[in-house]
Amino acid sequence: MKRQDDRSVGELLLDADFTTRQLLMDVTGQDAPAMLRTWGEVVQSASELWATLPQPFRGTTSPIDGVTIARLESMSQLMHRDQVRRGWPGDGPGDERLLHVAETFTRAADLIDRRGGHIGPTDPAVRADLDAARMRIMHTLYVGAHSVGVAAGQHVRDVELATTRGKSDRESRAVPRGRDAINRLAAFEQLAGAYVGNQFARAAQGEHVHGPHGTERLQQALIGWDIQAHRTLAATPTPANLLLASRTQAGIATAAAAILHAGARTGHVDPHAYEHRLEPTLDATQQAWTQVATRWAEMTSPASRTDLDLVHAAGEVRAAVRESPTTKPPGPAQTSWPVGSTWAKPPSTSNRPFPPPSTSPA
Amino acid sequence: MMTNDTIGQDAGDTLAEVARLLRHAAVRAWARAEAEGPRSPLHLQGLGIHTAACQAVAMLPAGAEMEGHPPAQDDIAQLLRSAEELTRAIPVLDQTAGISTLVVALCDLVREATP
Repeated sequence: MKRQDDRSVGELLLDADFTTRQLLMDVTGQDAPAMLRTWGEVVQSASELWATLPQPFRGTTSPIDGVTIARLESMSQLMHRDQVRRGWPGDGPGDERLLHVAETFTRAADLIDRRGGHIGPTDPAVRADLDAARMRIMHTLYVGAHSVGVAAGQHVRDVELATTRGKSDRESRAVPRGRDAINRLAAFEQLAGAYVGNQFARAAQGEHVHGPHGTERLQQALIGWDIQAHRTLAATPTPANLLLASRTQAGIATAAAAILHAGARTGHVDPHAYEHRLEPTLDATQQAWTQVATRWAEMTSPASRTDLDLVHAAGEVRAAVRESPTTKPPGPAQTSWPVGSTWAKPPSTSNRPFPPPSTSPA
Repeated sequence: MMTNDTIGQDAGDTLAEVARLLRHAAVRAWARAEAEGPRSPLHLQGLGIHTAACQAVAMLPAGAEMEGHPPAQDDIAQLLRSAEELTRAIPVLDQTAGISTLVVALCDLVREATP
């Protein structure tokens, strides 16, 4: 016999949140097709739950409340229709963890329907609870969308790496579909993130919705980093900012060495020049930046604050490095690279991100 | 520099602990990276952890108490998991704006640090 679920709405919302966090910590590229099939259900159940929450009286809440969830649901429906039309990722099982999140939202909505009809949102404490519930729902969608995006991005890269030698037309067509899904999820994530981050105005203006991929992203991240580092250090050359600048420069040198190493192995860079000029210079540069960073660290305290714009620029450099096209590690010296490795070839746009659908498109 | 003077005491204390764990994890990652050499991927892992720590500190009020005993554990993945678990006690509210991006950053770091 199934045990009765006695959890409160708040506990159910925490369950949904923690499930998406665990999902994000565990997700792999192989999960992508199932997650993409299930994501629409999560958003729909979140929207239905949102609709069951007692509506605020006029003027007691922000006008963005209803608009955001409606836009998110609309984005999710468009994405689902696109998947059906293109037959991608096709029929198959759903993702159990996301299904659990959807069911948890539905359970919470049922609970409110049955027991919460009398709640009047005039009491400030009740309004605060309702605001907290909306925030938790949106936060869960934000983390969930990021998880699905991570899985899709990893899957696209996995398939690109696996199919670099022989690419069919079908595979060539599939990569743009994967990229489209990633872009849609990024837009979704940005809108949900703007709600929980209280930055609706920026998101509503359409700033930075579709990010670039691969080497283009890396190029833009490096340009952005260069500009921001100069801005920050010109205005506030504190030890904390200089520490982050030095560590980021060291990281860039590390990444550059990995890219050139891969280039030398695949004939894109002169191996002799790499071995005798580039590699020693980059290693020395990396070590110099690391040494400088160590000195700046000695001048900071645990409470030292770093310019958030600089933090974001450094984070984007790191994210772009991790997203760069990769191949299998070329040898023992590189086996410890995360994401499997070093860079070898420019990003391909003609690989196959997802397996073929098991049925034809509806 | 950004500060947050509206965060509650409990959430602030928890966030300060998160920042301490992350700072320690970044130091551990960089120490291992330097031992491995200039091409170790741990340099970038340390950078990611450090930027997450900066995000956590930015959410704290000015003058927040950041000193304290260094964490007993040295395992980077475990430190990250501990930090993420602590964030589960922090409410997602206007007063804690930024917690969602920190949570995503932490979960990404845990995934990357897990073999």
